[in-house]
Amino acid sequence: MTVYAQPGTPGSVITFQEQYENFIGGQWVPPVEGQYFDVTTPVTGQAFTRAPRSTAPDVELALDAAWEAFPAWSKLSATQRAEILWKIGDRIDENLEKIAVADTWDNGKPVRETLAADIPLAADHFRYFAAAIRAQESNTNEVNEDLVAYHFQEPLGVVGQIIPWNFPILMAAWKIAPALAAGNTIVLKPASETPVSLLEFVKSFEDLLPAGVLNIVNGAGSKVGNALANSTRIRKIAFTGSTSVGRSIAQSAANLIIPATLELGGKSPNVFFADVADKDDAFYQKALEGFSLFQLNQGEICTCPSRALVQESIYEKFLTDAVARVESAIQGNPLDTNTQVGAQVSENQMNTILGYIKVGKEEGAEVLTGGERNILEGDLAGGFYVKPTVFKGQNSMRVFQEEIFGPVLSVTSFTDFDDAISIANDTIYGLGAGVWSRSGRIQYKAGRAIQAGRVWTNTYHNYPAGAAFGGYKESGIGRETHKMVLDAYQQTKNLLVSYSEEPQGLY
Amino acid sequence: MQHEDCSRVVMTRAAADVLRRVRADNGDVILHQSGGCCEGSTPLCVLAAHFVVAPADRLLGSVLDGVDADARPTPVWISFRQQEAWAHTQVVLDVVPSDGLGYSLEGDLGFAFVSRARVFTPEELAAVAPAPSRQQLEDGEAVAPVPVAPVDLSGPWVGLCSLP
Repeated sequence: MTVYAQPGTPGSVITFQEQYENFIGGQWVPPVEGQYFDVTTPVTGQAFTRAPRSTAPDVELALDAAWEAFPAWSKLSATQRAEILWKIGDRIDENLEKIAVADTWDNGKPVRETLAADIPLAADHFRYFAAAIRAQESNTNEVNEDLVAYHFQEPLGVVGQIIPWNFPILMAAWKIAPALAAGNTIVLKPASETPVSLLEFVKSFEDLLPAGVLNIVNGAGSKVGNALANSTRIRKIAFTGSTSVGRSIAQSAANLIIPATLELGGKSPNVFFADVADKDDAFYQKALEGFSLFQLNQGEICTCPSRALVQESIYEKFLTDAVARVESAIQGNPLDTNTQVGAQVSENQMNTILGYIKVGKEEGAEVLTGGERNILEGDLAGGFYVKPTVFKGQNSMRVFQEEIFGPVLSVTSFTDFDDAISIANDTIYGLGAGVWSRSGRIQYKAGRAIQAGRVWTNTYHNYPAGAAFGGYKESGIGRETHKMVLDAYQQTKNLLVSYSEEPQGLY
Repeated sequence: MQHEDCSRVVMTRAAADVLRRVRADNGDVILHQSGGCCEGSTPLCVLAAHFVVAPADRLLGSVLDGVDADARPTPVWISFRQQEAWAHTQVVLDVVPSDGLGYSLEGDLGFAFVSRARVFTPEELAAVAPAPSRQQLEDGEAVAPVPVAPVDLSGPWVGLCSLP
């Protein structure tokens, strides 16, 4: 067990700067209007640094730098770009503890997660796309003996990327790595709730990237986000966030006639068929753990398995065992490697979650565990902690239909396979889902029938590069974390060539 | 029987005060009730000219930004799928202090609109009209809800639907 020292105190692996700047053209550049905002850690509720409150002129500077860098970067061979991406992965690994603690301090998530998942997965993402771009081959098609179609993949140009706060570094890596691999340059806006851990991340490898290839502008969505999404100088926009803002971004993209990829959340069903309880064995324990995974990252995951559907015949027994498993999770100091559940990202987010818990109670859902704020001791008392909460109710309730983005699970029962699929699909979202069964037939049939971009089967919450991630329905458009995302960052150039010397005979 | 006082959306006085300042600074705005990732459940306040309301979007209601003669209504829209999931609850728009860094315009003033909810009683649910779509309103197939004055939430959440 390790308890990391709080940043800025003796023995800490990281000391934050008193103030951060934008990263533009390879330089740390103050915002044009000179305004900054205080950055608060949800661990204690205290401000710990300042970040730029940028405006449209800062976005323009970043776009200038990105376009200046684009010709050279896009003309590097895939081998050269891949080599840089691979080195970035190594550099991230070398700075694992420092970046992990920065991520935890910015977001409130337990350091055991940033050490084991967020940061190693981010490093791996750069290596995956280094490999993917090396292995990418254009194809040719012999239409007939004398007519050949050649296809070449070309970068788009400067792309805009807007990152959410729930995985400040990993979500950035998901977007940065494929865009750079494909030869684009980037203007990126971090989430304003978590603006600085990404800057510490970039500081660890800034010397490896040519100036202007990656530019980061912090500030408000209404200023920086809007300026970026509406700029005539971007060739694509990628956004992760809420549905209304996603629609606004998509409307801007429509006006510019550029592609938008959107990841907008979910209300993922986690379906437990009766046969999971056939034996009291390791698999049964795995299923109970699967039920408990809603509290991972404090529920602040778009694919949070926030609805559990349990077959009627095992409902009471399974629920008793599963709630006991939930209650065994350790909530506490996010800097303690023993901690399994940390703090919500902000006071407003905590209050939103508590508001949903209130609505759930009003709707008549039964609280099986949790249901309130968790006031921890010492200087953690000012932090934003919510007790992992399990509701028992019906799928029509608001707590079953809305993405709460907190450690809140809503549980209901189902009678048979068709009832399970019907309830699972009775949601406006379709990002993730879980299916738990000992039967290969049920696993397959359920996985195919659930309308969601990813159906974890007898597992949940793995995020390896190489498995496509993205949503159906209001969960958005596009896929990430797979080589297919390269398509979203590339144009296809077709050369259609005739090798015949004969006229076509048309005129 | 439907009752015009029973609105699917109401706004607190504090939020209405902020809304009036937002309108004074920016011009006509709309509120679009969001869903989804991150701060997904918050309403998005945007310039009316900057957001295309879809024909299928539903109008939850209109909220007045005061009780005086200058009070103006602001429409509150929601996607049709989300409205179906929310139909049994009343949306209560309130405001909280914020660092002002989101997409919603009130952030410039140091606030964030938030969406709270209250479950309709069975009697209220029978009395409240369905939320019309933009298409229905344009085709004259539905009537826009009557704009509602700000409410005081300092007491218990009762009387928001003043049923006869």
